[in-house]
Amino acid sequence: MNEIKWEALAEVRTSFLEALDKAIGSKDEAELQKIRSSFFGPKGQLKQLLRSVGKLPAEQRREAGQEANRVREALEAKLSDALAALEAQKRHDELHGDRVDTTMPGRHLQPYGAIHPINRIVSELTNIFARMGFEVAEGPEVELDWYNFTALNFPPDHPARDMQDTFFARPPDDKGIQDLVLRTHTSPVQIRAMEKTGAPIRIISPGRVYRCDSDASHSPMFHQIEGLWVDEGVSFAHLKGVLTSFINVLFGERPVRFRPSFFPFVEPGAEVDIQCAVCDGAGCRVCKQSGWMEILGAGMVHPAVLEACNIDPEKYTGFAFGLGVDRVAMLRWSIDDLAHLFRGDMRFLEQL
Amino acid sequence: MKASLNWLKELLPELAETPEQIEQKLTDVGIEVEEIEYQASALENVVTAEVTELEPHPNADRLRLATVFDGSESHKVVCGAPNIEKGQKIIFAKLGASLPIGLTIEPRKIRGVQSSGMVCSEAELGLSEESDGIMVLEKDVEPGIQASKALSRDDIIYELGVTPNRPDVLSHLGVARELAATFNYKLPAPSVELPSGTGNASDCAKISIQWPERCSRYIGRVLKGVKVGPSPEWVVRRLQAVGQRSISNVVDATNLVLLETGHPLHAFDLNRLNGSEIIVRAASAGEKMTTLDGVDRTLSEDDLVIADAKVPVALAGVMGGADSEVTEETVDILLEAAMFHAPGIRRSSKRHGLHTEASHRFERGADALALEYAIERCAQLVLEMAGGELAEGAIDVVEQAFEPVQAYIRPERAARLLGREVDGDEVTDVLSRLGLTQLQTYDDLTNKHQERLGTYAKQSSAMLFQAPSWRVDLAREEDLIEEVARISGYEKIPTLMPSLPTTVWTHAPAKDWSTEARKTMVGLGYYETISLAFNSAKQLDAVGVAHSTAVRLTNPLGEESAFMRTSLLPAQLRSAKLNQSLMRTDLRLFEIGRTFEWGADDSAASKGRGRLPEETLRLSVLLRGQRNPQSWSTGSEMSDVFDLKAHLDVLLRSFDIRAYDCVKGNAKILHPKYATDLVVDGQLIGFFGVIHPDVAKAFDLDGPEVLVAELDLGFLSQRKGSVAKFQALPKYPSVARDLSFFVDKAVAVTDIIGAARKAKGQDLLESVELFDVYEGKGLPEGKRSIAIRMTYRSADTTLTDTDVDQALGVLEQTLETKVGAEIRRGN
Repeated sequence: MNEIKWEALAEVRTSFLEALDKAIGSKDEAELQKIRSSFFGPKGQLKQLLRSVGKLPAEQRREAGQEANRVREALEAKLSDALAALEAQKRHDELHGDRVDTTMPGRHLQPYGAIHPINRIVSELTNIFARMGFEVAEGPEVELDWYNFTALNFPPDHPARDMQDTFFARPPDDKGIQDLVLRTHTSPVQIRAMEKTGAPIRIISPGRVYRCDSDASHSPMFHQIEGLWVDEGVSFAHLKGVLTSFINVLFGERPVRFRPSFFPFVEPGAEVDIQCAVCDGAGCRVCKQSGWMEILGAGMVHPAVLEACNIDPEKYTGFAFGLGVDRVAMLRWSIDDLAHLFRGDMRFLEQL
Repeated sequence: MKASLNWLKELLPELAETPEQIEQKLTDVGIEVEEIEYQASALENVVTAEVTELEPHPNADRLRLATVFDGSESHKVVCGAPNIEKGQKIIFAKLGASLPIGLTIEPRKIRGVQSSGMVCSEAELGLSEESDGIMVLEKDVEPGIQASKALSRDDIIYELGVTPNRPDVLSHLGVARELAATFNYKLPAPSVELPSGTGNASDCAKISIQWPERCSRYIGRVLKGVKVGPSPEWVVRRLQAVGQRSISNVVDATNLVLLETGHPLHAFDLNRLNGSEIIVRAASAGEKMTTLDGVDRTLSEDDLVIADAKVPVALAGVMGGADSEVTEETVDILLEAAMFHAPGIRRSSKRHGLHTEASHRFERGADALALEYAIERCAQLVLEMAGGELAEGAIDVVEQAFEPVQAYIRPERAARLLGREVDGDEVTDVLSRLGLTQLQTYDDLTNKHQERLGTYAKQSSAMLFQAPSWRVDLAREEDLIEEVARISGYEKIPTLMPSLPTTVWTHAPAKDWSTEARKTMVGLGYYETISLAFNSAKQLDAVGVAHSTAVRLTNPLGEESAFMRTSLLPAQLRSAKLNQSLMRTDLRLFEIGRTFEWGADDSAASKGRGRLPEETLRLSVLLRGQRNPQSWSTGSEMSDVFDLKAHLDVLLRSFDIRAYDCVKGNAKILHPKYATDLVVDGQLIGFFGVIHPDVAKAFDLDGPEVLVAELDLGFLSQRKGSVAKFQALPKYPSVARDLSFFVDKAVAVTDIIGAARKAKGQDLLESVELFDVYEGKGLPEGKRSIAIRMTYRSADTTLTDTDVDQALGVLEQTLETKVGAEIRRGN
């Protein structure tokens, strides 16, 4: 700045700069605002000085006026800078102050809650099959012998019935000899559905089933999913296609093995193994060193079953399959004892 | 069933595949190998050795210190056996050996002396059940030979999972037959040559069949002067290898034949048969006999028995009788080979709870043509092992001659069913390997089979076959198709996705309401449980269900699970108790499942093929403990019935139910003060409340009160509600007015709000809400203070105070007259 010739102006400037320094030192925004009004406000020192320009001798007026304005602009700029710096500092302090401890737990109004593992698997399976056009069908859990056995080609007094340890029930009055059973598999739903709608049919039936057996790997009640597809031209190759797709979706792509087996209601019958999900085929305790895990029973619907439902086995063919849901759940979550699933122990329910 | 590879190789000498290839093949053709036992692996590090030194043990009188030489080095071991001697050849388990009885040999000190190995007894080697001392070998045995070899314990045993349709593979001959077919070998036909006998069998015993439907053929053979005693070593080992115990030479002979041919045989002590006579007949009701297992049995008229002239001597096809059992005193025997009716055997076996090797095979179906070979083979073995003389000829009573089964197969049908090409050559090849005989023309079919098989058998593409007697499972085309598929291998069938049918959809797939409800409940913080669907009588009582309407099981696992559940709540309370014992009383649980009850006889469930109980899909809820999870920021208020109601409210809303009634309920499980029924569309859909103190006591629950609800999810899922209609959004502001008043405690809030809504002049009343309730100090006796907020709104204009005050005035009067409200003014 050029030397100020006007002494009064120089004095104002000096006192401004002193006040400004002091305010900046104290980081006091209010003080800065006060400086603004006491120097630049209507009654401010500078305003008053500017008014006094008129009293100066005429030849000095012009120069003094210019000089006073120049000083005012410079000082105002200084004040703005100081205010901005203070603002920036405040903002900086606010942003970089004490962190909020977000490691503290959220404010829960309720527990997490969870769908039971079995039903999570059931939903998953039903959804996979729904995409292949299977509709859900249901049937009673307390079932007539006819649906659970006879119509499924388990003749009375046939040892195939021993494959399933059966619970029997009876009506309260014991009137007549009624062969009531707790269904031992979800297959009776096949019969009921075919009886009702005939062919073609494509259903999936998840549900509870019962066998009188109880240990670490057997529960008197467990869950199955049964599938049935009957139509013209349905073949074993299609059974392989649908089940392989399903297994790939559920367990990830891995070797699948179809081997002959026997269930009275299918012919040819098969058991389906997947490469052991625990050891990837190397052999372990879970797969009894075989490298394979049995996962499904399946086969082409036996013509006697179709006939029992008044479906012409020459025209229609079909396949059926069934799988144990509990076993899939045990595999997925490495559950070692089936009984955990049915106890309602919170320590179990919260884990999965 | 257990199959010995050595035995199979005796029957099928061509079998040259490795044990693993055989295992694989068996599994591939549907005879699942469940386990494979390598006998030798149980005797690793066990060798023959010689006792070279024997000294007394310095610290024990009964122990000795032996030095044994295993062919390459010597070991010092402490031995307690009294029969050990210097120079003996013995079986020595080296360090690291793991004996069949589960003993691992490690270096250890016995009474202060280091012992590095073990001299084995037969029992320790798993060769016998007990033994007195160490096993001593022949003198000329070389030391250092693997014990498995020295003891002929080098067999491989397959544990086979034989499905019930394949009784023909319940024998070594059957498995060999299957292996021959799959590996395409020729199985040598089994044959026996018996010496000519002395005397006629038919002079020694008389056989008659009185119940031909249950016994189609009975062959007897007589052997005289046999010497019953222990079996030779190879028989003992062979039986042991497949998990059976040696009994005596004669009994072992019948068992060997069973294991070889699959046909169950029986040996009677001929001299203990009254009248030297066999009568195959029905038992008379109440007739008694003692079976070989020593159990006294009361017979039924449906039991087929083998009787002598006086009494039953065997429960046919199941078990022999104790009175005619072959013992050490037996001299003359009658061997039995017979064909019994499979379902009859099964019924007897079930009735008497007696499942035997014999009944297992007979009920699945025996080979009708195996009898002769089986009994001759048995006679041969008895002669070999027990000596004696065979009486000439067999006493052979045939009531029904065996008729082979005939069936057709059309290759193009096989191709359609399997989804791969099948031609006649493949069919002929596979089926003939399996022992089926191809018939040339339709006329080769018997009349019975022409009738049974119908017109398809006449089609030019139909190939006709006759099944061998042992394949009782082959009857129709699909059975033959399966044979082709499994022997050729399922891996030959391609993996194809079917194309989806193109029929027009007529309806939406059923909505999965249970999953919807699950999601809602989880959103409310609940955990889903699944419980076993059984109840005890006590639990039925707790929920107030008559035993007669519950479904009782005939064969429950126990009294605690004697009934099918009528409610999901007992299980939830049980789980609350379990968690309580684990110090967990903050609970939100729900379960979805069916309950079972007998309805009226004419109920829907009794239509169709027979009467069934009614099954209702229910959702149960259990809420207990703190309203919010324990945390740094929330208090510890306890959940009450209004928390539960709010949850039910959200749940019902998910079923699109916006209005329902809560009426005084009477569920026995609930505390009467809280018991509330939920009514939707005039239909009772469930209940909620706090459990009755008696129920809490019965389930051992103490601590925070337990709130429960149970809803009929089936009804909710099937309910067809109306779809809500959108209302135009309001254009004008609303005006709210609060009203507080005293009212009798007995007056329900729902009645107050109902009265307010129904009051005259309330056209513009948009909503009435309860916003405060106070009971307690400072109120008139028997009253509570209630505050409600009314919101008024017009669709056409902004309301003025005058409009609203006028409506409110009418409303106040209505509340005063209808529910006895004492309006509190001026505060």
